[in-house]
Amino acid sequence: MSRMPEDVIEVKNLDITFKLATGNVHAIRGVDFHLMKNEVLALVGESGCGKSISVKTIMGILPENAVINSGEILYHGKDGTVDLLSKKFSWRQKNINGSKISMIFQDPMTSLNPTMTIGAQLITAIRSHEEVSKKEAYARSIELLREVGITEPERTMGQYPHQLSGGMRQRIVIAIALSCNPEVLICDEPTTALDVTIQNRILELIQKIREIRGISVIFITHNLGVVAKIADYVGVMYAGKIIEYGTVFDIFYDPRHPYTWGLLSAIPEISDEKGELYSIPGTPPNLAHEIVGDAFAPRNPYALAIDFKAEPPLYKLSPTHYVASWLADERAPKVEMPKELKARIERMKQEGVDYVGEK
Amino acid sequence: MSEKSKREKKVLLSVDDLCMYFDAKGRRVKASEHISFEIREGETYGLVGESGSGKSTIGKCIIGLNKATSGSITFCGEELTGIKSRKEYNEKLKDIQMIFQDPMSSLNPKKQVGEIVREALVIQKIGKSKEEQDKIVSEILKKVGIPVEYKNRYPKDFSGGQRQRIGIARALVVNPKLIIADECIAALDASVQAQIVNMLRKIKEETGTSFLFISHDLTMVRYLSDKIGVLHLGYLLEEGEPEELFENPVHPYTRGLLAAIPRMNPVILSENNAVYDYGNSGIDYALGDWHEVSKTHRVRCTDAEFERWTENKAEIKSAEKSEMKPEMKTEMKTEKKSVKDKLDASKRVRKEQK
Repeated sequence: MSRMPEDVIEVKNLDITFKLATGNVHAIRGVDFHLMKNEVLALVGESGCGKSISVKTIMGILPENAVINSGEILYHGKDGTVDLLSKKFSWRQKNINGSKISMIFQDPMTSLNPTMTIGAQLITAIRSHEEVSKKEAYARSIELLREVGITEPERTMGQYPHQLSGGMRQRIVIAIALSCNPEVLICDEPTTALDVTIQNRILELIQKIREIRGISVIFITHNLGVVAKIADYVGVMYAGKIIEYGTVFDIFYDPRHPYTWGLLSAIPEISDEKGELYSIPGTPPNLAHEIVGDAFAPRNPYALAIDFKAEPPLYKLSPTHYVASWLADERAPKVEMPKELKARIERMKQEGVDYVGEK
Repeated sequence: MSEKSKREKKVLLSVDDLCMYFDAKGRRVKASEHISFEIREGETYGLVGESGSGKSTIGKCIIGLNKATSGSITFCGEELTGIKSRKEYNEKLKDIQMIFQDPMSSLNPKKQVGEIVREALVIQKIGKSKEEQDKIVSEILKKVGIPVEYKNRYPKDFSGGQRQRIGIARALVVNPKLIIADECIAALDASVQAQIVNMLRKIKEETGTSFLFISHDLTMVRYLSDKIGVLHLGYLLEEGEPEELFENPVHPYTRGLLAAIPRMNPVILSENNAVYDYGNSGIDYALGDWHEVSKTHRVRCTDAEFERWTENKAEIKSAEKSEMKPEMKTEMKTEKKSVKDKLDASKRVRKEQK
């Protein structure tokens, strides 16, 4: 993918193997993506497709048995460009993690210290990156809590994580992540453990923070409804690769990869008839075995003969839309997306036009 | 199913005025308050609500893992509450099985899956010999889509979706009348969720088993259920058939819950004006009582509230807007702006393509 001038993070040709007692698992097989300034990039895919591993590599927090075979992670900060993979972890902890790139995780309970008050955790986070007095750190903590929508920040400062609800805890985690003014916020399934109403509020909070602070966000989720709400760009991952990449409109209104078709079809519609739900047949491939051809081919009803022999390159469909499928090749037969999905996308488009007209 | 044939069906499980309180450090936590509902034969009842609303507590009360503080649970015409001895309770519970959320922690990792499923038969003394039991196990595994050859493998060898299938097989193997499925798809991917939901529907049609489907995922609950009950803070607030509930939600909480479902459309963002806050809503659940909207649709509220909510929907909406807090209004504005930005951006991109 071509480099954009306003890129903040560029991941190039990342390739990672996990060494296990039973053999090697080739978990990431050449991942490329870039994150632009003030944009939300969503990475979607089934569990085990490598979404989390990709972002953990950015933070340098891979398990010890992971081997990075090749790749570059370029961070274009205010002070120039660095390849994060060439730096030591201690250097990254000091200069990048937390202060430039921050991450929040799925379960807020495991990322907060249960024996420390919220205030102590926030102050520690601030003071471990910047030399400020306790008083100043306290004032900034109050400010942060207010920013993430906590109504009584003074009271919350003295409370322990177990006294707060799941949604509140996730807000605290976001506050800590924002404490050192990062340029990039990585969210690894931040709303999966929450209910729809709370999820909605957290998503709105992330949107608001992005607008106010002008930060960039990488958002990992397997919920396409969440993607539709929050993302500007979407990378669809399958078996350790990004198989389709584009703006949220490209992916939802003009999907090209049969796997993306499957993912979109599998989501039940609120207004749906009670027919059978669509599900993608089969299971993702075992990455412990070497994959020949397109990893999705065995589950793909539209697979061509070449899919079983050679891996498809990434085709450029438009300046923003890329797809790794032989169907995009000019020699390939013309294959349309399933009729039901096409009808549904037409409905979605109409719905969108009506919605904007109403407002 | 016509209205008439439904009413003719026998009531399988009836929960009447169930209260479940937990006493912790002198503080009383009210997990369930005056819950009443019925499940008829062959019917699926969906319980939805956010975490902490008491969904799981109800399931656990039915199966006897929690001892209800007051109220009664009747299954197949027999009273379950008040039974003191565990043995007697277990005898009654033969026809109720449970599927749990996390299929990894609910399967014994040291046992082969065939044994895990067969264990249920051994406990309930179904099948005369091991061979006969094995035959039943093979049949049930086939039914849930696990190849019979995998019978001798261990839970760790299976994926999350397959493990959940094994959990379902174990529940199904004893031919229960009622299956309580507590968040049984929450831990799975969307595509696998669809597979499991399709399978549960098929099983329901084939065997006529009733389900109590506990979940926070409204779209999936709608897919499976014949009736849905909405829980909040331990109270059952609204109950109705899926169509009624989704098209004509009466209680503000239900409306908020439905509006919060993320829509699979990048242009449409979930409505913000439906944000529901119990503390500020001025509603006291304890004062409410059941009011019928239609024969199959009822809502728990006071008379005045019922009148207000059902009188004129349009009026309610405009009233809600004027009551909105100023920060909510600005939030709505920024949301509108971002919709516009997104559309503009897409247009820009389209132009570039040309």
